[in-house]
Amino acid sequence: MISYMINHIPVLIVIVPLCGAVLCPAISHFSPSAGKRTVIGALLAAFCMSIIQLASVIKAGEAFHYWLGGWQPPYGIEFVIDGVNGIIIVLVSFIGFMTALFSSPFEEADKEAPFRSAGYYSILCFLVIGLLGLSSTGDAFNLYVFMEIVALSGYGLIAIGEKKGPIAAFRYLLTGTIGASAYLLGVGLLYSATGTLNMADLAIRLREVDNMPVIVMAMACLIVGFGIKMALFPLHGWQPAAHSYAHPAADPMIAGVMIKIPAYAMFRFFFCIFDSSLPMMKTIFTIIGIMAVLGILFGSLKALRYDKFNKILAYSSIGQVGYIALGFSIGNFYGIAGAVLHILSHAFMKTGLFYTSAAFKYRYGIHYTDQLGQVYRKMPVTCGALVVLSLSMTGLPPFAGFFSKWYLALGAIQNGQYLYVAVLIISSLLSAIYFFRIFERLFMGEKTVTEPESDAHEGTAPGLEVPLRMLIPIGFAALMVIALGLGNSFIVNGILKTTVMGVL
Amino acid sequence: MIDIIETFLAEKGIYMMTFVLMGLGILGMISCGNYMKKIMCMNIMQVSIIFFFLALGQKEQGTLPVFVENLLGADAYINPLPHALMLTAIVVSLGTTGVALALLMKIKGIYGTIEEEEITGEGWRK
Repeated sequence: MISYMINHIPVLIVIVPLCGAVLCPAISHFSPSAGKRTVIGALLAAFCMSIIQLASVIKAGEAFHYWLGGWQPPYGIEFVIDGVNGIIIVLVSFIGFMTALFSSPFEEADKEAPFRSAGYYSILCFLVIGLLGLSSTGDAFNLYVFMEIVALSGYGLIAIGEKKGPIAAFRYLLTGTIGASAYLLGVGLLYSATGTLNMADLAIRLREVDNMPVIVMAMACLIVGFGIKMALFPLHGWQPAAHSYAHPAADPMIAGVMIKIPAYAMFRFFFCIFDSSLPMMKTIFTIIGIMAVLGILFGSLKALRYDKFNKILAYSSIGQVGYIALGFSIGNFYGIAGAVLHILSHAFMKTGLFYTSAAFKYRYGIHYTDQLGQVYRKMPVTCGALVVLSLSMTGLPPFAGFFSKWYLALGAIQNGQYLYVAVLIISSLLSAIYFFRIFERLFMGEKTVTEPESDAHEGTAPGLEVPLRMLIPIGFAALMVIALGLGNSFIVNGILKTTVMGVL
Repeated sequence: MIDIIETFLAEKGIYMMTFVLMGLGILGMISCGNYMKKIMCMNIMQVSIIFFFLALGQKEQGTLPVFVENLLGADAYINPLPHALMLTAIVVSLGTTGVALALLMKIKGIYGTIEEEEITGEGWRK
């Protein structure tokens, strides 16, 4: 029985939360708290299964193929789990579980609408499902469907946020649909050249195709499609508004994870499917590199201009996504390892920072950094986490942010691309400026906030700054940043090396 | 003469038309100020992608991909896979349009208008 279950783990990771998401509104009809617990339980189950899956993939030392319904590829859909996406699935399900836990105080504050709360949990769970499927699928069209599940649930979570949420969501919807259509067009072109949609089969058959214009066109469509979804520099227009006006509790998931998984899908296409030894791949990588460099500088400079906490974080994300793209454009082992490590570390950093931002909002209604003065006296743990996460963002050693930039710099030096190293250093300095300005206001600013009315926060136990259900995710995000920093050599050498060396 | 036009249309023309349609859709999404029109242009763009896939599956002298007696071999049938894929894509685009319309109703409720200029005039960027 147990071994039977283990064989089906890749699909169960997607199916179990799917059942939770669908059942949640029905159960909430009878008991709202049971509906919430269904979703949290389903996500916890997905997290446990993803750890078992990662352990068995590391033990086996090779990719695990799961055929849906027993249909053999290239005719059927398959899920492929290797070292890289095994660890990304653990990340997604862990942050999804933590975010569901984090959301409950926000949803309890809204007592008039129990059904709205059920809808919220259901949509959040669908977002996690989409991201899990997006990272595990081995079929190009299946990836499109999961991408749209992610996008549609993302629109919902952005729209139920602040007052400007619906417009931010609508703009993201228009831009995101162009991105998804561009991706679909790219897949159509690849299908017309090869006659298959399975990624492993595509990789084999593309070697024999000599119709270069079709492949170049497909690559251009894929860059536009993934670029819009991951908010790469000239295609980032939707991102700042969407990330700053989304539902405060779901924002960590949207800002931290939703833009990273398309970046991983991009890695899959450009390294696992296309032949990276083709002469024109050099041009493509240079184009991605230019986009990344401009995005890093633009995001860091633009973040200096804003006082709103969420806006600063959103613009800094544009720069950080640039780092990931930079790693792909470097294209050697250190570059890709740095990019994947940055997907992990930035997911924890940005999620954690949005958790702290939501905690400030929940306790004092703070939106702007100049309201932060002396808050650390009241919320020591949250502010401690904020300091750890910000230092990691600027790239100080022992934290995770330093090591991912370190691997990127190593890769750039190995390829002789010293411009990239200079950009890495400049943007680290710029991010130090905007994070240290937050510190200045936090520790040296004048006290501006007053204690809110006590009845607004009855969920908070005496002696705690925010409810425990919010404090645990904040603490875990900070701890994971330190753990990833200390354990970086295990992740790079133990998990990523076999997979990444296999595709180079 | 007619042969040349027919070959051109079959080999390149149909793809050119779909790309023109896609370009029109994106142009409309950028230039129209009314959110409802933007949704319509979005649908035009999605339809162009559907046309592109359907044109891929087309074949001269091919018949429906259902089994006909005494007609064997893949050559006699058109490729059903692009049609099946597009069924999914149509469902997705229906979902997107539904969400977009729901968002529009909410925007109309908050701002009282769906004209972009009237909404963004009052300090949207702040």
